[in-house]
Amino acid sequence: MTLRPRARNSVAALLFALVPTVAVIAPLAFAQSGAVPNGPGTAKVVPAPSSSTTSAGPVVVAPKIKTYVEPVYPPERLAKGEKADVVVELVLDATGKVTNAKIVLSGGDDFDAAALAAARQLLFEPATSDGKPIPAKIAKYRFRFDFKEVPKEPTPGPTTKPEVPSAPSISISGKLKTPTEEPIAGAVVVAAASNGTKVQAVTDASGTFLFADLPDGKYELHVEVPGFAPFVADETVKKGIVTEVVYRPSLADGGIDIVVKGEKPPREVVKRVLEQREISRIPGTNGDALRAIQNLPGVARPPGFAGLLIIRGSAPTDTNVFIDGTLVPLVYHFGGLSSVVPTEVVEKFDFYPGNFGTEYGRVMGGIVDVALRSPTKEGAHGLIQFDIIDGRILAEGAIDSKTRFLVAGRRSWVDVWLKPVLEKTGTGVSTAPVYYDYQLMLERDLDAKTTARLAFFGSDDRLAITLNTPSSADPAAGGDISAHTGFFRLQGRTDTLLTKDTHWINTVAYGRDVIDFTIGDYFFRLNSHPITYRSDLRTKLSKEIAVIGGVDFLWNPFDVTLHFPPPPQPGEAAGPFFARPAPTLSTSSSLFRPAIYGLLELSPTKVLKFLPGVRLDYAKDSQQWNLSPRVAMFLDIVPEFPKTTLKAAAGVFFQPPQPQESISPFGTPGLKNNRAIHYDVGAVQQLTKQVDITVDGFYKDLSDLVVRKSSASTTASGITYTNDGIGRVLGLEVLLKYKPDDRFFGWLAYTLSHSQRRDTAGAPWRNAQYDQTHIFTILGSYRLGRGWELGARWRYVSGSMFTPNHGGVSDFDAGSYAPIPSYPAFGERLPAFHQGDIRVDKVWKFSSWKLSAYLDVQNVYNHANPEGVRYNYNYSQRDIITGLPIIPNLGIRGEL
Amino acid sequence: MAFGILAPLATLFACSGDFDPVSRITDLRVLAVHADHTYAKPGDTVHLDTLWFAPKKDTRGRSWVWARCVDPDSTSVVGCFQAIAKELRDNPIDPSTLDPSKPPPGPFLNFFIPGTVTGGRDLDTMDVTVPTDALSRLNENARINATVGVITIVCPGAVTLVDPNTLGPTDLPIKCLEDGTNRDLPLDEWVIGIKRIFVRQTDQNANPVFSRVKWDNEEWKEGDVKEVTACDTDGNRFDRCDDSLAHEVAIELTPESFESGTDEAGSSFTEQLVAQYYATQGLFENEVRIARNSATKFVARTVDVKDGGNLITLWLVARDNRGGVSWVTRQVRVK
Repeated sequence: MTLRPRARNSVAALLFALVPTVAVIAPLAFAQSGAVPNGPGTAKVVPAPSSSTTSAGPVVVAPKIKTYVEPVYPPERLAKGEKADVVVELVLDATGKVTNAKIVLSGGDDFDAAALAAARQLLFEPATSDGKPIPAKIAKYRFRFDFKEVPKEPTPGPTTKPEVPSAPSISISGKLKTPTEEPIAGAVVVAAASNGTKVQAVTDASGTFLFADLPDGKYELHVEVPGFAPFVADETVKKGIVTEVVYRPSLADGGIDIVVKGEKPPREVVKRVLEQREISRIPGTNGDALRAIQNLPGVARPPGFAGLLIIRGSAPTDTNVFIDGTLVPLVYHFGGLSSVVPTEVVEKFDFYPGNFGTEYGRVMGGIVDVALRSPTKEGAHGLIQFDIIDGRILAEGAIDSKTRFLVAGRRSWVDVWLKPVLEKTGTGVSTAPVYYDYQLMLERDLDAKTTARLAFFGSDDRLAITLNTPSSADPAAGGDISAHTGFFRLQGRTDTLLTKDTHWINTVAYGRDVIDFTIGDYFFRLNSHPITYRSDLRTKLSKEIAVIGGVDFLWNPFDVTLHFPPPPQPGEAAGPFFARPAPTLSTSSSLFRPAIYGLLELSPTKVLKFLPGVRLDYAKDSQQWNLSPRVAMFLDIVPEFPKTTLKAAAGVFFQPPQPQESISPFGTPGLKNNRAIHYDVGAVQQLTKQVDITVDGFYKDLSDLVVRKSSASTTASGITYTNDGIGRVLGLEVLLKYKPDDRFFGWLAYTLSHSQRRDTAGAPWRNAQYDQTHIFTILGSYRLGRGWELGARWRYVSGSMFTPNHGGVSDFDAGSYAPIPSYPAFGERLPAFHQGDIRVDKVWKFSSWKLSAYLDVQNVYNHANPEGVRYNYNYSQRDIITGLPIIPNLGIRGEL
Repeated sequence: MAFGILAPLATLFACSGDFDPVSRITDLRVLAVHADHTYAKPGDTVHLDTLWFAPKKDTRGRSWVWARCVDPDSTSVVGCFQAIAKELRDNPIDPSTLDPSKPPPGPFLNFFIPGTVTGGRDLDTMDVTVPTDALSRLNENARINATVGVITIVCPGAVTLVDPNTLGPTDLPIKCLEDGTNRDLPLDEWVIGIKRIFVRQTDQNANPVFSRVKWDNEEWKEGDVKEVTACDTDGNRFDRCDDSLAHEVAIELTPESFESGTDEAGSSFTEQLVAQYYATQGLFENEVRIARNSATKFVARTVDVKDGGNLITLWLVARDNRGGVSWVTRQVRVK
């Protein structure tokens, strides 16, 4: 067979087909009546009921092609005999003229350009509603660049006109939407007739699916969407009537409405979700999943080189991070360079800055739950990526129709260039700073209702050097220095749809956490083996009532040994530590923290949702039982577009003391748990279908906070802990967000807050260490076409708090000075931080693989940002330590 | 913890700005306090010597005052001052009632009259006796923290007490009023510091012992004044001077100086020893080195020669991390 282009000029031939396979023509302005598609690029428009209803409305006639313009076959492609399909979305005005055209399915840059150029010149007979012209949108207009076999006897006649299949008669026209009205694309919908016949459709970018020419009768429509619970509905088909439906399947882990993309928080008053497209393209983050969180309202910018998650003025230890429901001890690799889970294996993360649901507990700050994505169900996929920080590799694929796997790993390169730099300074390097992380997943559909997953993931950071030149401020910071932090988790998870409305997820995990830190003669070593189990059952009893309940279990045996001088008490300088008594303390103990929780979701009306819940926790280490009631409420005061929702919540949160605070010989047995009451009130306002604004005010009342005071004369550790601390945090968060579409995403986030602490009764209120008054972020990323994407970010953040020193006194044992800190602590703020970042991505698509490159430039205008204060040797002079200069990071990735 | 990993590196890469280095000794400074027994039993008397410097041109009257805190709640420097402040709050001293014929009052080791310059003039050595109950007063598990903190105050004027009832948690209970002007001196214009005596029943700690000092890799004996050419820089960056002007300086300690073993609490230990370098003029490439790899480089500076003459004194100090300290002195002459 010889393939040769055929065309009017007899050199080449093009086949441009308009294939309305899942054609959707939706009027832009308003819903109209239904009709049947009957020609090229046309379809019927039917009214869109707001729920799963059946109706037959007035006929709307879709636009029809009037003047067709043939795309130019890209010469290079033509020469190479390459083919492509390009699908374009067309927006038509009431005259039938194309006012906008954009690529829905790319065939490559040059094919896309040719298709767009032609599409913009097309002219249609306008869509009509009861005979009146209306604007319309053609969701998928396909141009096919193809060749026909050259016939032995050439057939004359027009060959450049689009090939148009005969128009079917629409039986069912439906839309799939998330609970927040986002279209669900790519979902499989199966219509099963009562005689067992099945037909299948796939939703397009607007979430629309169509079934045509179905015989009359009753059908079961099965909807399967990755990430959503399977959904079944009964529909009736009658000839001549278009059955129009809108389905809103529940998210797989919920069974109840939850917020997607941070716009609407049905159960948690503030829940923010970022998805792959956003995570991987935020400028200045190198596409890192958890660094993306720092761009959301309520999240402070951590000090330079500090991999910390600081949420709503709380300490980093007040926030827990989970991977698929399993607690992990680390968020970031050293220095906050990147998070311990690469973006490639993340489906999304849920971030709760406060007032989180009863399924979470044991902390009084926030929650981050990272959801790992499932391995691909079809074929095989792989990627390899390098940038100046790390290299990574991933492979995944289907083993059989029910089983799939994913293997991924990452290693930093920092040691490659840092080792010679360190050695040049005279530092002996045994292990230059290096980090690894790894993820392995095996997932299998046990039956139609249960999916099981076995996952093994972990992280490892290491450093070992000999510092021949100790710090003159504290000679203890010298000699042999090593650090090793790491963890792994072996996690088993089953996800079962017990009934149509009952969802059950079980997650069990075993792991190991390691911290091994040595500096000179001092050391800290921790080994623990946490076992966690979570069982979460969610069921919808009726339209008005849903119930969530579960157990959350943690048992963590550990061994710890340390040889360190006691830490300073509040207001006391940290050093020098050289030549101070340093007790050697060790213990073997365990944390046993079981909990049960429950939540009711009551929807007495369509516009009101009321969610009372309670959680009961026990902590063996503090020997405390805590009952945590929480309640949230949502009221849609304008339920239709543009929707307005008011929301409010309050809840009690307990956080057991850190193990070193409550377990002998390090801490003080008998401590109570830290306590917080969160109050939230806010509103969500839709501005357009793509843009909304969320405003949240919050107040946190903190009590029984664990504080320490020196007690070297009474305890070996030299420290005694009490529950004398109290605190308060007041704040306002604003998020103006353009939700991702096929071109753009972006948002503006602003947080205004004030966080204070009082360490003991009678002491003055002071600013909390992580108080940041203003946190402003604006970012956006735009796909320019031809594989190019350009993004930018700008941040302005109030400076970090620090405790100024007003001089120093000599420590004759260390040969240096000890600073005299001012009181109360954290009385001064660094100058504000501001920084701009840009990111450029370019993707080259080939027939079987894709090559992409990115340049992520941080601090593009090279601003000398303050990161800390530096003193002279006797603390009589100081200046500002500035952060990193302009840093370009170039990365390249190949994907199969 | 992540921050902990990078903290030493941050220290490594942090520029020291253009602050004067800690090694340059041009004003009143106490560089070290040596105890003949850094670990002492209750009832032992410990003799203390000081290595200190004051410019000859400084003619202000100078007070030396010694005080002590016993088993403070914090072994930090501030902890000892807080203990002294508490003692003064509990037992106020009324200067008008002080009687020089009686033992020094409160926490003080030498008799001094607050507000007068004469008390303790250039009293640069002191004997301190560890209270007999320094261990027994503590819970058994807290005895690892038992210390006597000895405060040394050198004031170019008069040492005065601050009303302890007005002190904030981090304020010092003592201040220095300058001789002649009665100015309340900031902390960088007088000396106040702490030396800890570790109180143990049986443990001992020997001070480091020098085996030799080296200059350009050859033994540098006491009294051997080396001649150097100064570097023409007025900045504080060592690398701005030509390498040909730099001279290697190193100390060597006896093997016995590097002590290790198991202490009376049953914990094993390995001493960390460092070499610290000071000079009246010039720059060191590294002011602190680990003692096992102590070599550093030194250059004299022209600007210092103009200001301070051409004879430079170098102090080479060895410290261990259990309170031991020793020093040697050498001199170089700028050509």
